Amino acid sequence: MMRNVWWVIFPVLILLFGLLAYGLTTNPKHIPSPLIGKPFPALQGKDLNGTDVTLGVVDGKPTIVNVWASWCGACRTEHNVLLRGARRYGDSISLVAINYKDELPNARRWLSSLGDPYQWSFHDLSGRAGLELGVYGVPETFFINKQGIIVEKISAPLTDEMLANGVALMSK
Amino acid sequence: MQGFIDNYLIEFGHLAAFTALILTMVQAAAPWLSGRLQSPALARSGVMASYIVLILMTIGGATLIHAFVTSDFTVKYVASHSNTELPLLYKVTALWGGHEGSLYLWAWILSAFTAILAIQGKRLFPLRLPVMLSVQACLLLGFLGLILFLSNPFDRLLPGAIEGSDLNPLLQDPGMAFHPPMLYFGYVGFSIPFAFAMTAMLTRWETTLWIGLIRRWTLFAWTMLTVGIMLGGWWAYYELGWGGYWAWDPVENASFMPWLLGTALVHSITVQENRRMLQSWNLFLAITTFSLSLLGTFLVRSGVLSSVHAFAVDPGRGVYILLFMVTVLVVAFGLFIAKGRVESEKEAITSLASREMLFVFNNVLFSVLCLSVLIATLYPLALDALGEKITIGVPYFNSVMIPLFFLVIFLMGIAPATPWRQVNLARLWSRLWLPTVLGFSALIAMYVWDSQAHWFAFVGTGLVAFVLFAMLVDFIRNARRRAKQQSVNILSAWLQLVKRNRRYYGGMFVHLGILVIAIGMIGSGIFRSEQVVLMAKGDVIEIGGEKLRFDGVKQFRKDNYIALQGQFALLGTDFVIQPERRKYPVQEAPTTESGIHSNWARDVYVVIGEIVGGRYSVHAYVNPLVEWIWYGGFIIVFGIGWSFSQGLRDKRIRTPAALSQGKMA
Repeated sequence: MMRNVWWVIFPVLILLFGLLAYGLTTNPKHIPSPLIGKPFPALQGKDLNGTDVTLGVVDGKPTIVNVWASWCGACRTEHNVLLRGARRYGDSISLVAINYKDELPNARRWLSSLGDPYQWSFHDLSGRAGLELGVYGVPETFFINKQGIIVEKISAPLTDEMLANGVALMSK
Repeated sequence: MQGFIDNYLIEFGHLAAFTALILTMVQAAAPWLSGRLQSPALARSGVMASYIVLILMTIGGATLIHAFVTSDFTVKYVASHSNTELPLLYKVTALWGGHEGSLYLWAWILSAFTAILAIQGKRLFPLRLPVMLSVQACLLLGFLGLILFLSNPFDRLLPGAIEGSDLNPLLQDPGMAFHPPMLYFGYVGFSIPFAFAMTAMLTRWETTLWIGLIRRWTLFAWTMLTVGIMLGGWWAYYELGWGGYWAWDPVENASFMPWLLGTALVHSITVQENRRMLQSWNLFLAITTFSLSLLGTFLVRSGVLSSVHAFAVDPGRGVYILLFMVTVLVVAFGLFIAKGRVESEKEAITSLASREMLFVFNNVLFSVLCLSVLIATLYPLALDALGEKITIGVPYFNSVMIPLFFLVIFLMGIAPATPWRQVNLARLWSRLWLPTVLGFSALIAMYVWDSQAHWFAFVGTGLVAFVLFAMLVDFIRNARRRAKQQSVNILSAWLQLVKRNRRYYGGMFVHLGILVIAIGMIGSGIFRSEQVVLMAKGDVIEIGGEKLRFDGVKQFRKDNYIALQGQFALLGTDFVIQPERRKYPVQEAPTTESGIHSNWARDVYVVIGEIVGGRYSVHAYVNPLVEWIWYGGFIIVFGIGWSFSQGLRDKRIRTPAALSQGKMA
C-alpha cells in the first residue's frame, strides 16, 4: 500500500509542467500603458539635421514613433525589423523616431552605417520628450492612428510580428 | 599581434565552450558505450574528460571576463551589460549580470564540481564513478546546449557598439555582485547528491554505503544557498529602500524551496548514518532538492512569474529550460518509481519517543513548508489559467509559514536532548523542565512588556528562550560528565567537548545561528516603527526613541553616477546618516541607497525621496534587532566550518562506503 503512494508523483509532475507551460504563453509584466487611447502630445523640436519637426501624426497617415539611441544594444537587433518594416509598409504609414539622449555624431554615424528607416528622428538630447511620453527604457515604440490616438505601445525590442500587429491596430 | 589577440580571443573562448559541449556528449555516453564495446578504458576516460571540460569552461569564462575588463563592445553581451566607466569589480561581476552570463556561470560551476567529484571518486568509488560522471555530464550538456544555441554570451556585435549600455545599476553593489554565484554554488552543489542517487538506482548501489559521502556535499550546498539567500536579503534591505529584507517574492521563494528541502536532507542523512533507515526517502529528497534547484533556475530565467527578478526573455529559452526540466524530472522520478524503492529498511522506528522519530517530524515539517511555498508561488499562475489575476501576499505566507517554523524551533529544543532508539520520558523531562519553565517565563515577560503585540511575538520569544536554555542545559550536562571523567574543571571540559565532537557541536552552532536570526526577525518584524514625512532643512523628527535632524542635501558626481545625498544628524551621537538617490546617466535608472545607522539593538534606516514644494519626502524606520539576522548568518557559517574541520581521516575510517570498496574490488 505505502509503496504505491509514490505514484502520486506523476500526476503532480504533469500538473506542474502543464502550469509552467501555460505560464510561458503569458506575460506577467504586460500591463497596458495608460497612454493607450490618449492623443499623442504634439511636441516640437529639431531633427538630427536641425530642421523643425513636430511629433504626432505625420502626413495624415497612421504613424509609428520609435524611440532609439546609439548606446542601446537592443536597438541594434530591432533596427533590422524596422528597415524591413519600412520597405514592407512603404507609403501606407509614416515611420518617425525619437533619438533619445544621444550625441549627434554618434546618432548620425549609426544611421549612416546601419541604414535609416525613419522619415526623420526627433533629437531629444535632454530627454524632455521621453519624460512627456513616460519612456522608461529604450527601445520603445508608439503606434498612432490617423486621428492621433495612441493605439499601442511596446516597451521592448520590436519583432516582425509585433510590428505587423501594431500596424494592423493603427490602420483600423 | 595585440590587435589580433583582442579580436579573436573571444572566438577562442567560444570554441573552447563548443569543445566542452562535444566532450560532455562523449562523457555522458561513455559508461554505456564501454559496456557495449567491452572497453573499460572508455569508462575511465570520463575522469580525464571532466578535467578537460573544466579547463575548457575556464578558458571560455576567462575570455568573457577579459572582454568585460577590456570593454570589448564587439561582444554583444558585453555591450549590453557593461560600460567603460563601470568600476573594475563590477566589470568582472557583470559576467553574471544578465541571462547569458548567469547561465554560463551555472555551467562553469557545474563543471568545477564534476571535476572535484572525479577526484574524490577515483579514490573512494572508482567503479561507480563513470555512471556518476555521466549523470553530471547530461546536466552540463543540457545547460551548454541552452547557452550555445539559445543564449550565447560569445555572440558578436559587428560593427561594435561605440559605448556599452551599462550594467543594471541595482546590480552595481557588493551584496548583489556575490549573491548569484553563492546561490549557484548552492543550486549546483545539490546536483552531487542527485548524481549519487541516480547512480545508486542505476547500479543497485546500497544507499547506506554512500549516504555518508554526500553529507559534506549537501552541507556545502546548503551553506552556500544560505549565504546566497542572506546576501540577497541584506542587499534588498539596504538597497531597495523599503526597510525589509524578505518579501515572499516568487523568485525568493524559488531559492527558498531547495533550501527547505536541503535542510530536510541534511537531517535525514544524519538519521540514516546513525540508524539504517529512510533509504527511499533519502533518494527521494536528493532528487527533489535538485529538481527544485532546476525549478528555481527555470522560474528566474523564463519570466513565467511576475517578480523583481524576471527579465524580458525570449520564449524559446523558456521552452528549452522547461523541456530540459521535464526530461530530467521524468527520468529521475521514473527511475525512482522503478528502482528506488527496492531496498528494505534495515531497522525500524522502535519508539515514537526517540530521536529518529523527531527527525522524521522534522522532515515532515520541512516538506510541508516547502510544499506550502510551492503551492502559494504557483497558485496565482493556476488562477490566471482560469482567467483570474491575483497575487499572494506577505500576510498569507506569514500566517502559514511562521507557525510551522515555530514547530521546527520547538523540535530543535527537544531533539538534541532525546537519544536514539528510545527515550526514558522521566529522564527527558529532567533535562527539559528547566528550559520549559524559563521559556514560559520569557513568554510571560514578553506579554507583560507589550501585551498589544502580535501573538507571534510571545510564542516566538518563549520558544527561542526554551531552545536556548535547552541547548545550554545539554552543554552543561555533557561538560559536567566529562569534567568528572577526566577530572578537569568544567570550562576546559566544555572546550574539549566542542573541540572533539566538532560535527555535533558544529550542528549546535548552526542551530544557535538560526535562533539568533529568529530573534532578529521577531524584533524587526513585529516591533518596527515607520514614518513618512516631508522635511525641510532644520526639521527634527522623533521615531522609535531616536531623534533625527535634517541638515539639507549635497549633490555630487562619482564614478558612473550622480548622487543626491541627504544629511540627517542622529541627535545624541556624532553620526550623520546619509541616504542617497543615485542617477546612472547611461541606463537612465535611479537607485536609492538607504542611510543606516546600526548597532546591536536597532537600525535607524532613512530613505530620501522626491522634493515636494521645497521639502523632501523622507521615509524613516527604526528596526529593532535587525542586525541579529546577519550575526546569525555568521554563526551558521562558523558552525558549518567547525563541523567540516573534523578530521577527514577519522571520517573516512568511519564511512561504510570506504569499507564497501574493499568488498567490491
